[in-house]
Amino acid sequence: MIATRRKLALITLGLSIIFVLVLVISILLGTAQIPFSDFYDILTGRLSHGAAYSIVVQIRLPRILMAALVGGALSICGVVMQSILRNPLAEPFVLGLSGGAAVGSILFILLGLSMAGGSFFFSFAGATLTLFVVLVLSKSKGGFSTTRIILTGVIVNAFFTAFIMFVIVTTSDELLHAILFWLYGDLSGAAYVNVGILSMVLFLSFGAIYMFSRYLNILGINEELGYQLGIEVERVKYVLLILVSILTAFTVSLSGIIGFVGLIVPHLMRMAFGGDHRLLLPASLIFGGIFMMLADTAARTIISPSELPVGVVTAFLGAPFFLMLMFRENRRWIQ
Amino acid sequence: MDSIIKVRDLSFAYTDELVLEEISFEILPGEFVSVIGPNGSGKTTLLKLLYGYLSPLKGTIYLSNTPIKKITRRDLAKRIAVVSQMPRFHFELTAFELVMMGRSPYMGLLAFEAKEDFEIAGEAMALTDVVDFKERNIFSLSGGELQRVLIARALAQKPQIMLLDEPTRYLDIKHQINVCRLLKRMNKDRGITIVSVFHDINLASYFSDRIIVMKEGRIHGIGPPGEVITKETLDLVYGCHVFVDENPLIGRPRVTLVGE
Repeated sequence: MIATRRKLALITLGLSIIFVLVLVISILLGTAQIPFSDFYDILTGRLSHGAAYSIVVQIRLPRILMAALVGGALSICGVVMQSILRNPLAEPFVLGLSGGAAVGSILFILLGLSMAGGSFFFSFAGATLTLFVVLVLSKSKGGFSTTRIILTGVIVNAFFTAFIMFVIVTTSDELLHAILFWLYGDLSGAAYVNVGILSMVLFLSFGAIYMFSRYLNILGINEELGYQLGIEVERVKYVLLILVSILTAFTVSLSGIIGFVGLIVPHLMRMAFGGDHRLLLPASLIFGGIFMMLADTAARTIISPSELPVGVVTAFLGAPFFLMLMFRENRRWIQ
Repeated sequence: MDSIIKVRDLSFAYTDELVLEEISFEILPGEFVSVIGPNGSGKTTLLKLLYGYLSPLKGTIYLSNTPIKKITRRDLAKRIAVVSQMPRFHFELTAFELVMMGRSPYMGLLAFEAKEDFEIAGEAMALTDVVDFKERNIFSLSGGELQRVLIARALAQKPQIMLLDEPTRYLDIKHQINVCRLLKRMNKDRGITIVSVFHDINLASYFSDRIIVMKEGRIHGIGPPGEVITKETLDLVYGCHVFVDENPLIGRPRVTLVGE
């Protein structure tokens, strides 16, 4: 399906309406159910104190907004990585980027450093370094081998998980809970200031990535075609991979490792709207938010009054999805 | 007439060993030139150098007297269209989307295809006879259908020059001849200069104005089919015995492989 402005407008509008609906439902649901009338009063400014008010405004809203931003960011990372690496299974978690970013953040905590933005910086270094290592190790004659890149990612991930487990076992109790949750994604501590930071980063990165959306269509076929159609392939590729590292680093340093979102969302959007990145990118951005808000609501409600790390929910959905995609790929490779 | 492609003392190596050695030739606007030679003689490498995908070790390639290094990738893509050996696809894509990618060099970063782009892509698909499966997924196309879609994509680039790497590979004889006829028509009617690698010496002989014969990274001979498609040349270049006579229908050299 060739993208047109009309299709772009319709898809964006349609998904945005669903986004708002899911946002409202997510606010109402939880251990304490919020009646819609209370929500309406808060929205119109008639209710500005009390239990319902603090649950909605101080606890749930920042957390849900954070979930939406994280979901959008991870989905965009998935879309870009899948195209550039020509690998339908690529996303930040599967290729070990999230693990690398998490190890960076944890090192920052362990070293007892406290400089502004330091956690992000360590996280970015971790993600970029991992990306570099995975790409170098999986480079074979004539490009990246699709299977090798996944295998390398899995092994690198196993190493990072071992490292994080080591840290957990040898660390004092008060740090333990924070790090443990990190391993499977933690949105519970979301604060408005972080929502602000992430929305700014996401807004800017998405803008930059969207400029290359037509190029992503072409590079998803092969790099040679990119050259043939006049793209400065190397430059475009490195700019995009750095943007992906930045987005991964921010999401992980603010919310921990949340896997498979970058796999599920882009593929569902592909099925719904086709492979043109001019539609796929904005659709994945918004639907990524919707998906993550739903996953987080599930994490908050399934075993209420306790809650699950949201990464557990996404992994339960994502792992079978990964296998399904892998088998579909295999069939195609044989053809 | 000034040449459209001029190659001067071109050498290239992937590793230490030279793949192309001191190659020089010129191609005139509107010519149909084939490149033949045994496997590993440097044909595909030569094509990749001609559109700047690879950079020469030594020597220079000129496009209408401008060194291609001085032409931006985008401008190069407006002048040269390439049909390389078939890529392996990973994502669903319709035939029409693939053809439309040929308009990319003409479009701005955030642009959507204009009416003109739809017309040009539609015309390219009509020429290659692929309109019927416009909306079909590329995974569902046969080798012959896909090859024609790839050629339509190249035509949508509105190029002055088309470079093709074995365009008849994977095709049955009907589609082989159809693709060659199509190229000849683009060459005659639109004046597109064609440079194509062929494995089938007969197709090269029947359709080309001139043929470049390559052997071990050097040009063994270059000239009209009647001059270079001879028993002596082919025996030497390919290292096997062939029988050459004239195809009575078109008066061009015909090569027959000798059996036992």
